[in-house]
Amino acid sequence: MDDARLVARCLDGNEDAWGELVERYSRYVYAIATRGYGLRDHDAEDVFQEVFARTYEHLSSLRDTGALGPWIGQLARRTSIDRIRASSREQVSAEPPEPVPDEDPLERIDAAVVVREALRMLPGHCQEILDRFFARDESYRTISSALDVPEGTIASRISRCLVKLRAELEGRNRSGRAS
Amino acid sequence: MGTQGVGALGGPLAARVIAEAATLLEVAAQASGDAWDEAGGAAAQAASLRRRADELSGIDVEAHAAAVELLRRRAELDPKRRDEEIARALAEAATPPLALAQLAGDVGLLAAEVAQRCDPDLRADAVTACLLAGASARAATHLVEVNLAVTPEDELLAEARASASAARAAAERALGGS
Repeated sequence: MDDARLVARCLDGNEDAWGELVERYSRYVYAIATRGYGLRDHDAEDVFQEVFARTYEHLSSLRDTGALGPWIGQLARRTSIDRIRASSREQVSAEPPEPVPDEDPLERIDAAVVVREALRMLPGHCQEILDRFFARDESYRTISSALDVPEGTIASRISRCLVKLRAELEGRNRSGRAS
Repeated sequence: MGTQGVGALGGPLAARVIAEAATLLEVAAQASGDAWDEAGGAAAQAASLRRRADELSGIDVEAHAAAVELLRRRAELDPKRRDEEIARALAEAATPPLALAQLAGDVGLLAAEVAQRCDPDLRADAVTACLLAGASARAATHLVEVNLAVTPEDELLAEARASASAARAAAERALGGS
């Protein structure tokens, strides 16, 4: 039985179909939780329960019934991440408070804007190589092919461009403080 | 991935080794700042490569699990679409190992650069990172090779092998300089 028919039978209230759905995707969900996100067995069990509870609750909202696998995979990823976050909070609350690093998302956005502006002041080849490596996650090989430069020189080119970027940012900081 | 379960852990483990190798490079570069102007740039690249390896670890598991699941219930699939669906799932499962091979190649290239320019006291760490990257690239290439959807003439395989070759060459360069 394909996924679309299985979903239809589940939505009709067929209990056997629900059992088959869980059986079909149980190892997939468990693998995401344990191997993908390194959760321990008891946390993975919580994720497992949560994912199939949500599946039961929201299955009727699945538009493409043939895309059941990707949908459950996404649920498993989100639930695993939620579990990791929850565990982190539990650990933090059990330990003496430590200085919290500045995690203000708005400050991070501001910093990203400043870096983006500084990037625009760099030579074009630096803008391109930094964008390809850090923003697009391209490999040295891909960058080498696209820019027609030897693969073995890409890392040092990126480093040189980062030195220029740092100089630009430090110049901005100095002028900011002087004004 | 010829049979159910084979290769389930190889990819994530290769990803972890690549991430650890990148961490070694990040530390070696950061600690070499006094003698090397571009050390910060090398450290930033190592950090980016480490992040990519961490992300690939989970993706590899998912693609593998999905393909294994489809193979397990191949008899239940619509015969008209069975071959196509299995081929697609296997091809998707081959993509993360290819990305791992490429990533290991990049870590190898960066390691060769760091080994050449870092504080001499830290060169052994950079060379170690280079060797780990070379081994991981070969391991990831093997995972591409054994995927049933990949043929010997496949472009994916050629790319993975080229990355493994680049990582191996980088390791030889790094060893030669130590």
